Amino acid sequence: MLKAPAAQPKASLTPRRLASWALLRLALLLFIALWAAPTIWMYSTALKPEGQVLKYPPEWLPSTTTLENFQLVFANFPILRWYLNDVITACSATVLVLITGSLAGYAFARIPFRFKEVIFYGIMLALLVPPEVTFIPLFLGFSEIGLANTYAGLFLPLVPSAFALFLFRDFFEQLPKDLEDAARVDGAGRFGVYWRIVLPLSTPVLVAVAILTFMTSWNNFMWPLIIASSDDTKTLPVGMNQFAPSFSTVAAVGYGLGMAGTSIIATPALLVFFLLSRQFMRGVSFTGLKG
Amino acid sequence: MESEARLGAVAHAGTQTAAIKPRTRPRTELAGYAFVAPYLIFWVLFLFAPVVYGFWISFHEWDIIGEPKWVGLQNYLDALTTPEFWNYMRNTILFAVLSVPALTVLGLAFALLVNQRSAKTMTTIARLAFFAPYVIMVTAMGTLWRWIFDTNFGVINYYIGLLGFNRIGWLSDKNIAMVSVVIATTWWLVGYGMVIFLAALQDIPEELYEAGKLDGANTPQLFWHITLPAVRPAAVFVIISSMVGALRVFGQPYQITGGGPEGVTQSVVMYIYLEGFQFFHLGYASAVAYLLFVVTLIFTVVQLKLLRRSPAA
Repeated sequence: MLKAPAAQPKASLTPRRLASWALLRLALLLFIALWAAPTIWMYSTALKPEGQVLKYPPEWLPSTTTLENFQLVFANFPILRWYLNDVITACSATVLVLITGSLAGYAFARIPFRFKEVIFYGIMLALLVPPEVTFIPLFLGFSEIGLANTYAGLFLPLVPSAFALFLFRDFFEQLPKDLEDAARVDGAGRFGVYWRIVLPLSTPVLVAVAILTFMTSWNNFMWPLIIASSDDTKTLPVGMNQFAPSFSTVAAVGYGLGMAGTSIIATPALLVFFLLSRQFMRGVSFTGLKG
Repeated sequence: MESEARLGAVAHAGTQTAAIKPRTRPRTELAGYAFVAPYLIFWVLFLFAPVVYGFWISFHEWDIIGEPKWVGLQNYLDALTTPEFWNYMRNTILFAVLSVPALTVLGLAFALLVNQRSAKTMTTIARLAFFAPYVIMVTAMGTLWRWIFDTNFGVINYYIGLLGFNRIGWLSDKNIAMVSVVIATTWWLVGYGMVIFLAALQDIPEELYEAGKLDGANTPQLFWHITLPAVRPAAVFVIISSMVGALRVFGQPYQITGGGPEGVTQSVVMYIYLEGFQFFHLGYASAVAYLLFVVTLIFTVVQLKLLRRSPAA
């Protein structure tokens, strides 16, 4: 029984509208609380002194706060080094992907050359291959040439990202050709066009690929676990793995410490995210729309 | 200038086409190869070569100290006849079956929730709240949830106790452990799906809904006939990428449960890791990796076929 609704007067506050207004906000509130709760609990636990961590009933706002967990973590584990390793690796990978990916992407989009199609689809086949298949051979190969446990070993495998190449090519293909044609007619070579015309227009895709690569490297757990064996090179996820409380004990000390460590890891990332949230989410949605 | 000359030539030739045809067939510019070379070098060295090498290793028995010994298909046969392999494969598929719908449905639900035009402040906060966990790395997330799920002192069990129920062995009960891992994973990753769906939702022109309402459609009908078809591509992307990621899951079970209790949450990739890098059964681990590759391929192809077939548009 459908009635064509008449044009709604804007300010009518029918019970139905009130209900949906309230329902929406209630739902939002509920889920925001649910989603933020674990993180809040993490900070809450980290700030509690040893004896208080297991206190029953659990307190969301610790009655006594202490920084001793954080101090212990910093004192006993080379967190800053791990952070540095992670940043260096992620930055190196990102820079290399941006350079190689954009160059290749531009070529595939605009430059005619023999076997172009074959090469491109060959590269795209890589999308089907799970990286785990490459871990053992990469480990063996790197060990043999002495690159095991080095930064290079950490970031090199991340550079040939088929997805990044796909994003670049797609973006460049969609750029209007006029500017490029004009520049070529004026005598600019391919690289000149790339460097002076195309790249400056490519901010969205550069940002998206940068975020994608950085996050992939930053969060990478299994590969660094395999290839980085000393504290000097371990990245954050791997290093952190060390002081997570063991599975079999209900180590109260462990959890306060563990949460402090988790907070140390999570906080900078969260801060950066909150500052750059719009770019972040835009970059992610960009990758999704093209996928 | 070059282009003007060409224009002139074409005009004189009296062709009808609007486009300017190149004088010769597409030239090969060497620049193309130069541009592609850096990428290709990395690709060959760090992707193609390892894949081939890994394939070769899977036909050998090797424990890193001795020489590799050719065993043909023995590794594959061993894997396919070991109950552990099927056990972990089952776990991994269970994880995928549980997490993919959760991430997709909840991702879409959240996207719809935060796409409302009213409640601007709350929806902005909501977007941040839902996406933020995604930037926390897996080790941190895993340790956090291990603490939350703790049977005796975890915060969830406390509230359950308040409500009068018995404590749940989130990580110690064989039947629930995988669900717990899925819950943690959903909290962690839903933001990604939400963002993708949000972008798709915002692409839907408002006029479609207006027209629909004028035609007398109510909200569920608008949703079914306008919203769902519009987010279909996004949904395909989210489903497939979540599924591929789920089949490769490693960090979450490794951190939250260590594969326990009694191996119920151990994934195939964790198996590869343990076999390859703790026991150094390199050939065997490689073979398992390739088997996983095949499984992933099959799942992806099947999913694409199922999802691409459009219902009556």
